[in-house]
Amino acid sequence: MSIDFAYQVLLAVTLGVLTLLALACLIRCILGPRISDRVLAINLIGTLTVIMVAVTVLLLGEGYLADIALIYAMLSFLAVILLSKVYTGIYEEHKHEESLLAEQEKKEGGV
Amino acid sequence: MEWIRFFLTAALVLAGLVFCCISVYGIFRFEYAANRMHAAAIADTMGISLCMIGLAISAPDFFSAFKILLVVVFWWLSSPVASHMLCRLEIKTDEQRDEYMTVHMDTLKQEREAAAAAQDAAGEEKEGQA
Repeated sequence: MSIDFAYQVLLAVTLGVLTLLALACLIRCILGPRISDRVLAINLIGTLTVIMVAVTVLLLGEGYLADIALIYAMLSFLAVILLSKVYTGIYEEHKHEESLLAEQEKKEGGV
Repeated sequence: MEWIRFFLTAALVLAGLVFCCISVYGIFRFEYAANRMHAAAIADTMGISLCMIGLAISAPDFFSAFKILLVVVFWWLSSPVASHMLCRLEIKTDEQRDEYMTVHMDTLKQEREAAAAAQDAAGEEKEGQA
């Protein structure tokens, strides 16, 4: 058995397992009852994808794919931060509107 | 020599995969988002670092190994921040939080009072001896 073949088997198995794990995370993302469960699953998919890109560095022997892994890590981080910020903002805006409506109703009821 | 390198890579990458599997099992096993965050952190730290160190050992050249390790460093810096933001989202938007996240204030108070009483008693004894 040559060493190239051994590497190819190892990396292919790794990629396959990581793909299955990412699919499981996608299922969690679809099932997740709350929005934070979904964002959490997306974060985990990002982690697994970064590992997958790093595995392809060895599988294809191309050094520049490591840059892509770095950029993907940054994008994944940005996505999680933005999603959390945006959903917190949406929730607070919704709360604010509800409280305004309740006040208005109170006033009208008093008159 | 090449084979030693291969086996080192294989061991580290497979160990990292095991940690990733535990992490993905955890996000199905736990019930609440804050618990799931705890499980997801396994893949963010141990999973990615073991896999990346294993891959960096047999990377094609020095710079790609360096970049792969840079990804780990970046991930270690960014993952706590992301978890913090996510936790803030969860705490702010969960309206049924008090039903399952409980702090037993009465028990805590009793424990603190008992500890304070014990300390006072010890202090008095010391004074008495002096």
